[in-house]
Amino acid sequence: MNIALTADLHLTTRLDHPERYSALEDILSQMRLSSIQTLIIAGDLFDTSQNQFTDFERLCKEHADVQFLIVPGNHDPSLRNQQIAVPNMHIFTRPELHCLEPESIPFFFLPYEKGKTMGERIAEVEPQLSPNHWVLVAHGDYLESLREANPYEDGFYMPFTRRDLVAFQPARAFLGHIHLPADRDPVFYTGSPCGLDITETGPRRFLVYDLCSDRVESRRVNSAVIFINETLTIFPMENEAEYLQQKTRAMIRKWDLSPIEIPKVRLRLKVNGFSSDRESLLRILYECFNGFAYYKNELPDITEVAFSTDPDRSALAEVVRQRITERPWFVSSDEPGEDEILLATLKLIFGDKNGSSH
Amino acid sequence: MAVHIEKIKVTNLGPLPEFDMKFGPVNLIYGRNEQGKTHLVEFLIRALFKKPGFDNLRETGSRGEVLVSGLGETLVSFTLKARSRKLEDYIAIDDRKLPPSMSRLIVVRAGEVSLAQNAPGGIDRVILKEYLSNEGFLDEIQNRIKKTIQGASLDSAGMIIGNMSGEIKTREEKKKQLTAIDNLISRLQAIYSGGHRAILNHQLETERSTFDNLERARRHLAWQLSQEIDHFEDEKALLPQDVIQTLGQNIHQYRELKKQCIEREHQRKEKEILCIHYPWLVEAIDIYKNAVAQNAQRPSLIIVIMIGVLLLSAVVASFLKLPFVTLLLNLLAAGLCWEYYRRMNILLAKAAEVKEKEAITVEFMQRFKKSFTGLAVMEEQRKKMEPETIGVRLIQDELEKVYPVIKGLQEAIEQAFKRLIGLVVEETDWEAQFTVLQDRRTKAEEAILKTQRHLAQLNVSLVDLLPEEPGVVFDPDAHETCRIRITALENELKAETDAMNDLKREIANCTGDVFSVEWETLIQNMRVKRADTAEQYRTLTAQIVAGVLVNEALTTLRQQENQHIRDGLQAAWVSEPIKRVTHKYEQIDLEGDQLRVTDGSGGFLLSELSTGAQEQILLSLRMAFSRKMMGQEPLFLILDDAFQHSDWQRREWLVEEMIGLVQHGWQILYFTMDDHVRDLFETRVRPVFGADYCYRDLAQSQAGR
Repeated sequence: MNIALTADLHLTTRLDHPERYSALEDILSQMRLSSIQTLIIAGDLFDTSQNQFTDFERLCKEHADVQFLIVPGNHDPSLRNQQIAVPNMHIFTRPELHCLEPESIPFFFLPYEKGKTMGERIAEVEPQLSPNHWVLVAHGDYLESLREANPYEDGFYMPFTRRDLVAFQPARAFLGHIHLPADRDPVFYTGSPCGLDITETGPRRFLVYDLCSDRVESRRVNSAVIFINETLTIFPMENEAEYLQQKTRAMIRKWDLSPIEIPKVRLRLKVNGFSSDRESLLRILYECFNGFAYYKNELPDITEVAFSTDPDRSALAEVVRQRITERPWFVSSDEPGEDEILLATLKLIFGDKNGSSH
Repeated sequence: MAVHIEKIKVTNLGPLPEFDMKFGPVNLIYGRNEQGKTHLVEFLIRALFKKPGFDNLRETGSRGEVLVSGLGETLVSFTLKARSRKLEDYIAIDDRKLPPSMSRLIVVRAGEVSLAQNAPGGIDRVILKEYLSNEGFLDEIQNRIKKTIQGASLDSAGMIIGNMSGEIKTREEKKKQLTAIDNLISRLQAIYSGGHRAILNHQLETERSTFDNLERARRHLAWQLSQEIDHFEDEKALLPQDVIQTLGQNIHQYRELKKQCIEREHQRKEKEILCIHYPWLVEAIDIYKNAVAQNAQRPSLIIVIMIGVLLLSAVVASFLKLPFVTLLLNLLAAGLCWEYYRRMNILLAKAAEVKEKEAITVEFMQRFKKSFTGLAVMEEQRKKMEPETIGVRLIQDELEKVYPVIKGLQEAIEQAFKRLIGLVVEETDWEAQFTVLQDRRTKAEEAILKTQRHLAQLNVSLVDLLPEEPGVVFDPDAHETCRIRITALENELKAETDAMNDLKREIANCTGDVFSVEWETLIQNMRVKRADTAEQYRTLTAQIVAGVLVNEALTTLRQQENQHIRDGLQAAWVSEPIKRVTHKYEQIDLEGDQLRVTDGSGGFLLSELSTGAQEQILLSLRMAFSRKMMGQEPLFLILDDAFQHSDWQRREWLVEEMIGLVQHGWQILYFTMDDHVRDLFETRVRPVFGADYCYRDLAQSQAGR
């Protein structure tokens, strides 16, 4: 038996955010093609508990063969079954151990509860849990993600720790709350299936879990909108245009988008560094990102770009740039990347944008 | 856009009380000595430049302004006011500030054409580096790199090696902070678990519940034991020790007395048999004596004699007139008389009983089975029987005293039994019943002691006794095990809590929060703190690495400095103007720190040339450097008698070079007292520039005033 898992849809009304419904519909569509009839939503299905549920009700009715199993999250903690009048949906308003089919691995559905930890609630059913033979579905922060920022979800909610993982030994833990997909086997954040704002960049996904083989598969959501938020560091050199084109091509490759996804992109591009020619910079940027739509029609932000025509400084910068690209750099995410080092180099050579040299 | 001086307006300037002039692209100000030329030049220098580059500029107390175009949409006014903005504040060349020697490059004061003061040949390596090797901008860049970073290097893996000070030290501190935060996060992962605490709490709850039940069972058991003690106390109270003790003593005494009585009765009976004929014997003896008295002899004659002697003695005494002796003797005689009389009467009274004497004899023999030989036999027999008779009497007396005691004891015993068991106990059952009672009391006492010991072991105070049935039986082993487990769980929870509190304290210390802040807030703040610290660390690392790399590149560039200077001097933009002005020198090169020029015949150091030749070469370099430096943004040159040491031919060539400069957008302000130069301008410059050539004679200005 396969089931689908997602989280953090933050639905409001179809009118306000059609792309979020669109993402959910795409998941349901893909489920139908794969004959998957259970969709688990690990919290924050709605943006608030006092939402208008009509659009979601309609969606559930349209997919009457799908069983929607919902765990309330920190955004919709008061969600109740009575609020949504459809038979093929169940909201786990309290912690519950539940088998999706007879003899199958049990799922522990754990709704978000303010001031509690996941471990406290799991401990209550601990005698009923067989190590490595139960699945956790919950909404909160896995402490392993503490080193990473969570821009849309400021704060720290219903924590789950490595110690809990070792103590209770779930076969899998599917968590909601962190919108960025993250796989830390056996803990999975499905991530939001549709970027909620420009901070949630890149293509989104949902998960398919095979109860028999214990295999977790990631599938891309064909969402209506893909937010891309990028920063590009440029460099004043003789062949600046070519350099810029190379950088943008590499950037676009990194996004890993299919041709049909390109029109869905809403790009926010911030450019920093130094350039010799403002007009040609903008022109090249427009050319390189031709086919991509800009987020809220914002044009590439080049306010952080400084302009210089000093050939001596440019020559010096090129010497240093080559040294930067030639040598190995740090692998830790706490260390600066090539672009950051390059930017610092340019600031030394050309002076700070607000400094004395410009 | 060209930067030109459009107008000067000044008052009280040395010999010029008032001077006002609009300038064109090329201007000549003519005036003889003491007419204010150099005052005007110095005013321009002081108004326009932040760093004038000339010594001994005169303070004149003048007031005025210089209006300059090309620095904005409108004319910019430069004055002598303190803190007023100067040309350096407006102009940047290729994003660089004007070099310090800029004023000396575009201004020649009082024929002083040298570009560097006190340098051989009027120019030095500093100026050459500034305009030919870009050393100036290298210095500017290097000045942005902190000294600590300049001394640092990168190893092959990109690791920073350098003195632990400044940015490197700060970066290391940030790295340590990051490591410390990561350690806290790791510890948080290992320690922070609601689950483990919940399990411990749940186990503790269960154990406490069991313990509470066992505790209630203990209190209930204690109550039961106290009830038992009360029961045994009641039993004990029903069997008072003194009463039982007295009863035992009474029974014992009773039995002893009774036994003694029986023995005495037996003795009495035995003795009575032995003296059964004693009363008859005593009576028979009396009767027999009476019978013997009739046959008895008369009273003794001695008594009569003694009476007579006494009487006689009394007479003698009376005769002797001893009345007292007489009386005494008489009394003694009277007494003896009475005795004699009494004996005689007895003898007479017993005489009647003699007849019975024979009957007694027969009876005696029958009774005592021995022959009767007279009174003596009887007396002997009587004496023989008399102790037994006395013994019987004594026993009888004794028994008569004991029997009431026995009776009293019996009553006391019967009353005691009635009190203790409520029944009359047969005498034969006294001991058995007494033993039963004694056993009952002993058992009650033992039970009390045993139960009290048990109760003491339970260690329950009286106020905690629990009559209610707890539903479980008290098991001391289970109770102790439970207590130990609770202690262990409490200790484990405490250790957990202590560890959590220690960790929380450390995190709060790291984030700057107070200890009482909620965990969720604290963890979020730690996340923010880590992100901030990582950002600072990343930025610092990027800055240090960038500084090291740029510094390395600068060092390499500096090593190429000489070559850059030589390349610059040999460039056409430097050598061509020299050729055009001197018509002699074709090349210029660097030799040591000095310039060397070459013509067809050989090379010469600039300092070895004539003043005029030096003047021409320095003016050529000045114009070349200016054009190179300003590029597409021409400026102005202020030349105060700059050609005065050149011959007339070379003055023409200099003027031609100057015309070329003006045609490239430069502005010339030439000040001279030299009529030849004035005429040269009139004949060579005016035809080229027409109305754009402005001429002012300072003598006319003074006259016009």
